[in-house]
Amino acid sequence: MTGVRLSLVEHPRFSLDLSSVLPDTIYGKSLDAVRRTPLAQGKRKILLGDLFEVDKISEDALEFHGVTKELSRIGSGMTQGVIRIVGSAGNEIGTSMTGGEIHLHGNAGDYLGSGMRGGIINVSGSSGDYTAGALPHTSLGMRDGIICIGKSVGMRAGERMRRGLLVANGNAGPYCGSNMIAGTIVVTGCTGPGIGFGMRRGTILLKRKPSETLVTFNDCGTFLLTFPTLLLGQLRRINRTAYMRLRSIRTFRRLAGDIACDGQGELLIADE
Amino acid sequence: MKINDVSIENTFAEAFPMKATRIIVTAANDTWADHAARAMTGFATSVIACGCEAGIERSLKPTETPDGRPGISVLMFSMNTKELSKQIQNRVGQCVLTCPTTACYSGLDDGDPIALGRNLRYFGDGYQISKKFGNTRYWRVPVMDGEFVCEEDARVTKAIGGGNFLILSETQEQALIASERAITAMRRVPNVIMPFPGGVVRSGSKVGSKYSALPASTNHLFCPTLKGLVDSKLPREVGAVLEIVIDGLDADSISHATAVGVRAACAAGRRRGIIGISAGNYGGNLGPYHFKLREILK
Repeated sequence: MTGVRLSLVEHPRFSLDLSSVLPDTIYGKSLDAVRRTPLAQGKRKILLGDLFEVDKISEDALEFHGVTKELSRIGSGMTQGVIRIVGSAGNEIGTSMTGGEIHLHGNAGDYLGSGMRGGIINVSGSSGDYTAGALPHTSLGMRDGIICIGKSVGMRAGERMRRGLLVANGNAGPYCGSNMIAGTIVVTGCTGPGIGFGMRRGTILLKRKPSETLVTFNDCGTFLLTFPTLLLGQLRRINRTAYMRLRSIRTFRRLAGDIACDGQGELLIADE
Repeated sequence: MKINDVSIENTFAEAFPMKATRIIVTAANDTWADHAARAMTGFATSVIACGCEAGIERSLKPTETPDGRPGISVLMFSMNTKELSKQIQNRVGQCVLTCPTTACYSGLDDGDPIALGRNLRYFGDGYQISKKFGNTRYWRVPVMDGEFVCEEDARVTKAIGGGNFLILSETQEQALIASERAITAMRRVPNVIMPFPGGVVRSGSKVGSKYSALPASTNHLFCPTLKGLVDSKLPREVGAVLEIVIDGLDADSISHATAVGVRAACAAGRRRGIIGISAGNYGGNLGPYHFKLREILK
C-alpha cells in the first residue's frame, strides 16, 4: 500500500469539511479516484481535485500540505492509518476518531480530538479551545486515546472528558478539566483560573502551582505516589518532552475535588 | 555419556502441561520489592499441597518496569486457570498489597486475562481510582503509606511443570555444593523457576503409596538408606541424591535450564564425589513432555 500527499493549491474562502478524506477511503484508490472525492463546503459540493494537488508517496500515510485554518474536521471519524498535516489546521481535527495517528506540524483550532475514542493525536504547536472537550451537541469529551500538544491549549481543555490522556507541554487556558468525568490531563506550563471546575473524577497533573485553586478542592497533603511514576513510564514512550520536564519531581501535593460534585477527582501539583 | 567423568544416565524427565503467569512486583527500592516477592512466592513449592508453584524469575532494573522503579519478576504455575486465578488473588492480596510501597503489574502481554487488580480494587472501599493507558487499565487503591497501584488483569499462558534432574553423589555435602552451583547458573536462564527451597528438593516422590489416602510418597528407589532393602536404582557408592525441579513457560527454556544446571553440577567432576546425573519419570505414560538428558546435553 502506498500513501497519498494532498497539497493545497486553491485556498478555500470558507470552512471546508475534510472528514470524508481518511486513510480508509483513500488507500488503494487511483489518483483520479482520489481527485474525484467529494467534499462539503457549506451547501456546496466540490471535488478534492479542485483544491488539492494529489500525488502518491512511498510512505503509508495520508499527508496534507499547506493546510490553513479553513480546513476543518481532518481525520474526523478516522479508524486506522496515519495522517500527517503540515500547516495550521482548523477546527474539529480528529473528532470521534477511534484509531490511527494524526501528526500535526503546526497549530490546531478548537475542539481538537473531541469525542475521540482511541488513537493518538500529536500537535507540535498549540491547540484551541475545548481540546479533548465535548462538542456542543454531545455530552462527553474525549473517551479514550492520547492527545499530546507541543505548546499551549486554549480554554476548557478536557471539558467533560471521560477517559484518555491529554498532555500539554505549555500553558492551559481557563477552566482546564472543567466538568471532567475521568481521564488524565498533564500540563507542564501555567494554568488559568477555574482549573478542575466541576470535575467528578480524573486527574489533572500540574508541573507548576496554579495561580489559584477553587475553594471546592481540599488539600490532602504532599505525597510520594506511585501513579505519577507509572504515568512517567507512559510519557517516556509517547511524549519525551513532558517526560523530561516531569521526571525529576519526587512528590506531589494532592487536592481532592471538586467536592461540589463527586469530589473523586484530584489535582496533583508538583512539589518542587 | 560423561561430563567430567560424571555419568549421564540414558533417561528422561517427564513433565506436565500447566498454566502460568508472570507478575511484576515493584517497590521504592530492591529490598521492599524482594520482601513482597519472597512473601508472594512462599509456600509455593508444589501443586500437590500448595495450590501453585511459584518463584522469583529475576530482578528487574528500573528501566524494565512499568513505573520506573526497581522490581522483581515472579512466575506462578498451576494445574488450571481457575486455581491460578485464586492463588494470584490470595497471594497478591495478602503479600503484595500489604507490603509497603509496592505495585503490581502483569509481566505477559499475551494470553487469556485473569483478575489481578480487578477484584483487589474493592479493598479501596469506593475510593479506588481507575486509570487506563492504551488498552491497559490500572487501579489505584488508597492505603496507609500512599497508594497501591495494580494492573487490572494478568495474562495466563500455557506452560510446563515438572522438568527435573537428579544429582547423585557420594555424600550429602557434595550433593549440596553441586546443586547450589547448578541453581546459581540456572537462575540466569529466563522463563524458568526452580520452585523448591533454594531451588533444590530432597524428597523426590513417586505416584501412590501403600497408604491409600496419600497420592504420592517417597521415591524409595532413590533413597540411599534403603539400598540394602529395596531394588534400588542407585549405584553402590551413592550416598545422597538431590533433585532440581524446573517449571518453565516453554520446553526450550526448560531444556536450556536443564543443560545449564547439569553442566554446572558436573563441573566439580567425579573426583569431587559427583557420581551421576539422572532424571525422574513415570515411565513416560503420564506426562506428554519428555526431556531426554543425553539429547539436551549434546
